[in-house]
This record gives sequence, C-alpha cells and structure tokens, in this order.
Amino acid sequence: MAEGKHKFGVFEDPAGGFRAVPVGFNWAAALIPWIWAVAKGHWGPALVLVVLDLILALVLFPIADLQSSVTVFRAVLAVGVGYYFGTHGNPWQADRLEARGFKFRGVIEALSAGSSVDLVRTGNATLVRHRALLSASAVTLVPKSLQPIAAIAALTWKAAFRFRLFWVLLFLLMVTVTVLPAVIKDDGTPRGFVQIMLTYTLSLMTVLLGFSTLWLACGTLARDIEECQMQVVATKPVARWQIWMGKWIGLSLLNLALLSIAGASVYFFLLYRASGLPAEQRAVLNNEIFVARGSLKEPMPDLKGDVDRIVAERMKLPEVAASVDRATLRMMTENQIKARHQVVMPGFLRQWKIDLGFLQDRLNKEQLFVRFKFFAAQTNEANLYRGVLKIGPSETPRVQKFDRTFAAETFHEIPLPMGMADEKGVLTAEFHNLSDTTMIFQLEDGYELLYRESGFGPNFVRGLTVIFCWLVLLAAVGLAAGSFLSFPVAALVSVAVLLVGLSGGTLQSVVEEGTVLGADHDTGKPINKSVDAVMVPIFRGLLVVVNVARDFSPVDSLSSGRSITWLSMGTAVVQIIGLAGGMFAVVGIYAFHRRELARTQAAS
Amino acid sequence: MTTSTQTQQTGGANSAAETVVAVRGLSKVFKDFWGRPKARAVDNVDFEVRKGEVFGLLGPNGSGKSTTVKMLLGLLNPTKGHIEVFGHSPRHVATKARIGYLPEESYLYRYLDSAETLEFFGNLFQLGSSERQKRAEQLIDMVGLSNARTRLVGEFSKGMQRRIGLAQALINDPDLVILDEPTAGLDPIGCREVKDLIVALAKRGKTVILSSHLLADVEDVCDRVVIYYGGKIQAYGTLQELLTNRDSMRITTPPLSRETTEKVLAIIRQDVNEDKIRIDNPTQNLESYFLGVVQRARQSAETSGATSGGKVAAYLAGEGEAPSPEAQTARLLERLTAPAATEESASAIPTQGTKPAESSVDVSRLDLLTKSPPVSPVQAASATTSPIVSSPAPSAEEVAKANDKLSSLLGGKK
Repeated sequence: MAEGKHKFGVFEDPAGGFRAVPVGFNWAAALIPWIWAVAKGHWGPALVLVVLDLILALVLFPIADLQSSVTVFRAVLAVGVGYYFGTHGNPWQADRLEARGFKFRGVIEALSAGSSVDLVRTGNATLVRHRALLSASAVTLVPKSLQPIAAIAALTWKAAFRFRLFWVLLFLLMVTVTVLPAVIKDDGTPRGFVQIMLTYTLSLMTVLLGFSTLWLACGTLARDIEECQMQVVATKPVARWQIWMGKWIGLSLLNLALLSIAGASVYFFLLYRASGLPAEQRAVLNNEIFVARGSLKEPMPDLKGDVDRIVAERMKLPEVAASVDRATLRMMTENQIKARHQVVMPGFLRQWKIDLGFLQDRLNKEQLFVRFKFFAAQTNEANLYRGVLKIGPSETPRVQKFDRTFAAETFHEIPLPMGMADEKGVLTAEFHNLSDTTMIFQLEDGYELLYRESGFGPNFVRGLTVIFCWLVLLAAVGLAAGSFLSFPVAALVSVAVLLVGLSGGTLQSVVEEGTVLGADHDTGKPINKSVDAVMVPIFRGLLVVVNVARDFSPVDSLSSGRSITWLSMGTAVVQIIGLAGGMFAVVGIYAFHRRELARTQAAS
Repeated sequence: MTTSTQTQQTGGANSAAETVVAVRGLSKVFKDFWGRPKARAVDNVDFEVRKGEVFGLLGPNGSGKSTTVKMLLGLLNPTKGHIEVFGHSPRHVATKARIGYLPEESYLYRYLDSAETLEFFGNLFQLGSSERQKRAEQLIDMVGLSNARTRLVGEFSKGMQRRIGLAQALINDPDLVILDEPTAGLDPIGCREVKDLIVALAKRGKTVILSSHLLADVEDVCDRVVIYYGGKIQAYGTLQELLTNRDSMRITTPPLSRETTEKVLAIIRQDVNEDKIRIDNPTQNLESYFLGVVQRARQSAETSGATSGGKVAAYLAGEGEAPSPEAQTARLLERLTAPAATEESASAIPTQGTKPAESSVDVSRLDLLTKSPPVSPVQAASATTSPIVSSPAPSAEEVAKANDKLSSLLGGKK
C-alpha cells in the first residue's frame, strides 16, 4: 500500500452520490463503543452495551463488597467490547449502507474517504470488487509474521469448540463451582465455609484443567502426526517451532478463557454469599479472607553456620568419627539445633521479636493479626493445651495478654490493637507453655504477623495467574511428550511427569535424609549406600526442577487471605513458564524438529 | 540401461531449462527401533525435474514413489543421497512457499469446512485476508465444491476430500506442485478436470510432479516419467521416447469403400506379409465416452454432490491473462510432432507391452468394417476428428481444432 494511503470500500447511492467506508480496524468504535454506535445509528449494539452497563452499575455496583470487583470486571469487559466493536465497526457500516439500498462499487486505495469518493466519481480509480474485505473476519490486529502461529493457535480453539470439549470442560467447572458448596462440610462459620470453598473449588479447577490440558496437549500434536494432518501443515512455509508454539499458545489461551470464566464465577459467588451475612461476620471475612495480607516473621536463624561449626567440632572426636559418617552426623546435628528454636518445654516460654522495619509507621496505624500454630509432643483427648500469649511492649499497659487453652495443629489468628510495636518498631511476643506437654512451634509457620497489603480482587487475579502458569507448564509437558511419542505413550509419560511433580514432598525428604531406602534403626546408617549414591543426586536434581514450579501455593494463600505479591506473581511467570516451560519447550521443539513426520505411515 | 546413463541422455534436450528438483544418489532405508534395517524403500535414485514440465513418478504400490515424494517435501530424511528443491534443502522453510502438495489421502482437519480449510492454509502462507478469501472462493468454485462450502471436511465423500485437498495445494499459486495420486477417489469427470488443471498449470510455467500408479493419468499429462520398481528407477525418459513403437504404423481414415480398402491392402501387401497387417475401427477411450454421456445428462438432471468444477481459478490461470494462441499451438505441436527418439535413448520398457494385438486380415471382418455402422453422437464427434497419421506432422487446421478443444477444457478460451 502506498504511503499514507488506506483502503476504502465505496458504495453508490441509488439516488446519486457515493459513500466510503474504511477497510480494517475501527479505532473510534473500539475506544468509545457506545458513543460511536449511537452516533452511527447502530441501535442494536448500542442498546446491548447500555443494558450491560446498567446491570453492572445499578445492580452489582451498589453492593459495597463488589465495587472494586465490578470495576475490575468493567475494565476487562471494556477491552473485549473494544476489540469486538473495532473489528465489526466498519463491516456494520457497510452492511447498513447496503440495507439502505447502496450498491457496493469496490475497494480503492486513497488518502481519505473523501478522496476515495472523488476518485470513483471522476472515474480515475481502479476498484477491486471484493466485498469480503469489508467483513469482520477480514479484520485482524495480528502482524503478518505471526499469522501462521496465530492460525495454528486458532485451530486449537476451533477443535476445542467443534469437538464440544470447551463446553464440556466449562460445564464441569461450573458444576465444581455450584455443586461443591452444597456438598462440602465446613466448621459452620462463614470463614470456614469460604476457606474450604476457595480451597476445594480452586484445587478441583486446577486438577480438572491440569489433566485436560495434558490430554489435549499430548493429543493435539501426537494425533496430528499420527493422522497425518501434520504432513500437510509441515509442507507449508511454517517452521516446526512455529507449529509447536502455535499449539502451545492455543492451548494456553484456551486454559486462560476457561480459568477466567470459572474463576470469575467462584469470585462473584463468594462475594455474593458474603454480602448476605451479618455485618460482624462480613467484617471477619473482610479482615481475614477477602483481603491480601502480607506476613512478617522472625528472621530464620543461621542453622547452616551453626550446624557446620558443631559438626566440625564433633568430627574431631575420634569416637564420633569412628561410629558415624559425616552426613548422618550432620542430619542429627541439624535436627538438634532446629529443636532448640522450635521446642517449648512445659513451664518454659518462647519469645519472638519481629522488626516492622520500614513498614513501622504504616503498620502502627493498622490493625494487625498474630497467626500461630503449634504441635503437641503428647496429645490429650481434647487436643487443647493451656498457654499465655503476651504481645506488645512488656511492662507497659499496652501489652495484650491472652491466657487460655489453644488447640494444637490449628492456625490461631488473634487481632491486635493498633500501635503495639515499641519505639524501635519491634513487636515482641511471648508464649508461656502452661500445659504438661512440650509444644513445638515450627520455624516456617509457627508464628507470624499479618497485615493488610491489598484487596482480595487483585490478589485473586494474581492467584489465578499462578495457576495459569502451572497450566501453561503442563501444556508444554504434554506437547513435549507428543513431539516424539505416540498419543497413548505421550499421555502416560506426561502423567508420570505430573506425579513426580506432585510428589515433591517425597523428593524433599529423600534429599534431606540423604537416603532412598532409609536408614537402619539400630545403627542409623543407610541401608544401601550404593543405591543412595546414584539416586540421591538424581532426586536432588529432580527436586530443583520440581521446586521451580512448586515454590508457589496460590490456593493456600487465597484461602488464608495472604498476599500474593506482584513480585511473587512475576517470579512465578518467569520460573514456571520461562524456566520450566521453556525447558520443556526446547526439548519438545528439538524432538519435533528432528522427527520424520511421514515415518509412521511410510513405514507401515 | 543404467539410471545414470538415462539421466545424461534425457537431460540433453532441455539442459538450458532451470532445474527445479535435483535428486542424486537418493536412498531411504527404514529401520526398526534397534536401528536394524527393515526395508529399503528407495535405492540410489537419480533424476531431475525441470521448470515447466509435468514429471511423472510411476510404479506399482510400494515401489518407493510416495517415499521419494515425502523426502522431496522434507517429511522424511534420506538415509543417503542429496535432494535440492529450488536450490535448497527440502527442509528450507522459505522454499515451501513455492510448493503445493496434495498427499495421497485426505490429510485435512475433519472439523473444518471447505472455506475454513483454505483460510487456515492461506494463513500459513501469510496471505492477506482479501487475497485469502478471493483465492478460497475461486478454488472452491474450481474444484466444484460451491454447494458444500460450509460442510465439514469430515462429512465429505472421498472424492470431495480429494477436491478440497487439491484446492489447498494450490492456495499459494505454487511454482512446484507435487500431486500424490491426485485422481484417486475421483469420478471420471473429476479425473479429467484434474488432468486439465495439471496441463493448465504447466502452460503457466509451473512444474508438476505427479506420482501415480494409474497409467492413464500419467500418459495423459506427463512430459517425462520415471518408472519405479523395488525402490529403483527401472525406466526414465519422455513419454515419446518410452512409448513410441517404431516397428509398426497406423493410418486412420474415415470409412472407406470395400474397393478402396482392397486397393490399399493390395499395395501394403506388396511390402508387408499378410500376418503383419491389422485393420479395425478405431475406438474412443471409455473416459471420452463417459464424459460425453454425463455432459448430455447434466443438461436435464441435478445433483447434490460435488458438481463439475468451474474454470481454472483466475489467479492460477494467470489472473485473467488468456494463454496466448501461439503458446497453445507451440505446446500442442510439440506434443504431436516431438522428434523421434534415437535407438540409443529408447525406452527400457518391453515393446510387446504397448503393441496392439496382432491379427491377420479376415475377409468377413473386412466386409463388416467397410460398411458404415450407425454411430452415437459422441462417437460421431470422435470419428470426425482429423485422421491421424503417425509419421507426418499434422496440418495447421488439425492443430487449430485440437487447440480449440484444449482451450475449452482449460476454460481459457471459450
């Protein structure tokens, strides 16, 4: 196209004169859709938009808890509506002219609509009589170089719709969202209900979409190769990596759509249920679940340094060196030192000092929550243990004292008044064990301070983004397997990879204990050292890979009202999609590139 | 005769023409999981395909034709040997923009309809939306699927699937078209149309590689062929070289009186033994007869299946540029009067396979032949075509008549 020129469809008015309609994306329709629709007399689309906006503004927005969410939803909707109006705007204009009796004369390149009409009127124009140019399907924002990838991605969508897979999955997800609340048992409190609801629905959604993604990913490539469609596609000017990426993007976008619809349903369902609760229960939910809370903990003690020092000292003793190897001694020493930090004997107390740091000014003006959990060395029938928790500057009237029985193995959350830190910004807490058994406060989640960081809506979106990252990774795993294996074998291998991923706990314990087959109870030595010598490094390597994806727990965070920060979400995108997904993508693309696509049939 | 010798001999005539495909020492051995050789599908094959020719890969099932085609397309890797397509490796992505491929089966997405199928493949060639839609419309019309535009490919009959497969192979207006069994599953009308299309493509300077085991397909359209058996090339050359039987001669005339026939026979008997002379009525082939019957039936009946295709898509026929009469004439003349092959370059095919059955002249039969039997309109049309004499060149009037017929078939000149 000549510089500065655009394409216009020219229509002739039977009563005389011409009208020109631009070809391509209509930015005015995209940016101010309903104003444009009214101005151009497209009453149908304008009416639909107005009704939709009225529902959001008059029905949902007045519900206080939904305001921020409705705002987010409207923003997302605006993007979708904008794209739809942008692609359909000019075709609507053309259709409308024809409905009024105008005759299509053709498409012409000109500097403006006016000059295109002038050119046609004076007969100095070469018109292309191709009416399809003014159809919505002819309008696209995809750059030409990405056209093949976009076509392959769109093909994945088409397959999902034509085989009704999309609707079946959506139905199952909706069943999950609507039926689960009716069948799951909770502790009877709104908080318990919401926590369980979030945990179960999000987990089930992840599992459902995870398995369907693996299945689809294995099938879309392996079956295309087995059924030979790939032989036709690969003979077109599209590189193998583009085919692979097209499939990956298509599957990921499919997951994004399903996850968004199901996630939005969960979100609005929860907020809707909460809006009917009494004010004080709503306040509890708003403080503890429908919130994104940051967490402050005591800095982790330098266990490694202590362990190294003590192990070195002990190994100098000949009797120790003779009776136990270094790895075993190290493991035992580490447990002993850890116990010093975690164990609170009967009659003893444990103190935590948390520095609010640069958040001091802000957090002194906010309500904070203390969250703790302990394990009992010897459980009693009620599983309740007495203790005294003192929080705040000691020897001052501001100190808060909670003398009561606490259940073991359960998280306890206690709201604190504002301004509990001392003048240095340190918040001190003490737990005095008044029970007759030893209590264990784990270093990881024994005691922490929670504060409000942001709203639930954005946090929920960030949580879903992390889940989406997992699904993208699973798509890469399935595609990589399908790149060099037949469909059933690829599915089997993918599920095996998933199981390895889910068994991260087992891998972790093997690596921590330094043995696969376990240790002899009497001697404390590994049962089979040679097996361990081979397997433990393998497990360690697997764990590194698995942890790239497992370091994030969005479902736990959302159900406990913890913040998933933008940084954490960004890290998830980089680690899960960029690193882990990228690794599978490289393997898959290489295998697909090397594969002889006509092999199966030719060999048969 | 060895393959390499043939390559040198047949390569002489058109050595100036651009080589589109060059295959040298090509072998393909399929191996099992453990790397042990299982089957030698192609064995040390050499050939070249030049620009603008219709090149046939002929051979029985399992002879290595499809394997060769798939190596040309980069779908299989050669075990040994070298392939160049437009001077590049078969895996060179940009080169594929110049190639159109119709596989031997319908390897299309069953959940797409005709228009979506062409839209998808058009996108892979990065065609603009308007060009994509224009070509899709013309191709759908050309392959006779206008009535099935929105039906899913999975619901198509085999013949209809071949038609849409052919359309996708041509969406990019390719310079090299590789057709693997293009007429498999097509009705006789479809077969004729495909063959006409191949000729039309060749007239535009496109190169066509046709793999088939249907001898009639290859004979009708190919300039040069290789004949495969057991993964090796058994024969290689132009059809003229391979098929011309220099041991006999045929003279075709309108029906003659008994007296005239006797006179002619008497003259011939002076030079040739009685048992070497054969006289009969020429018959048209079944395809021509069938097409004539359907042509008449079409005027009075309708069908819901694939219709006869429209004319060759405008962009394939040169975007409105009518083929010049000179070019048509030259091509036809070339076909009719190709220089006789030398004894050295003659085919390796046994001559008895192409010889008409020998029979001596039977007087009673001669009686029958000299009477003018009633003929059908189609036969009549066929019979009134100019007498064909094998040796002398056809007259200008004969060339013009044949040329008109070819043009009407191609939709170029009505």
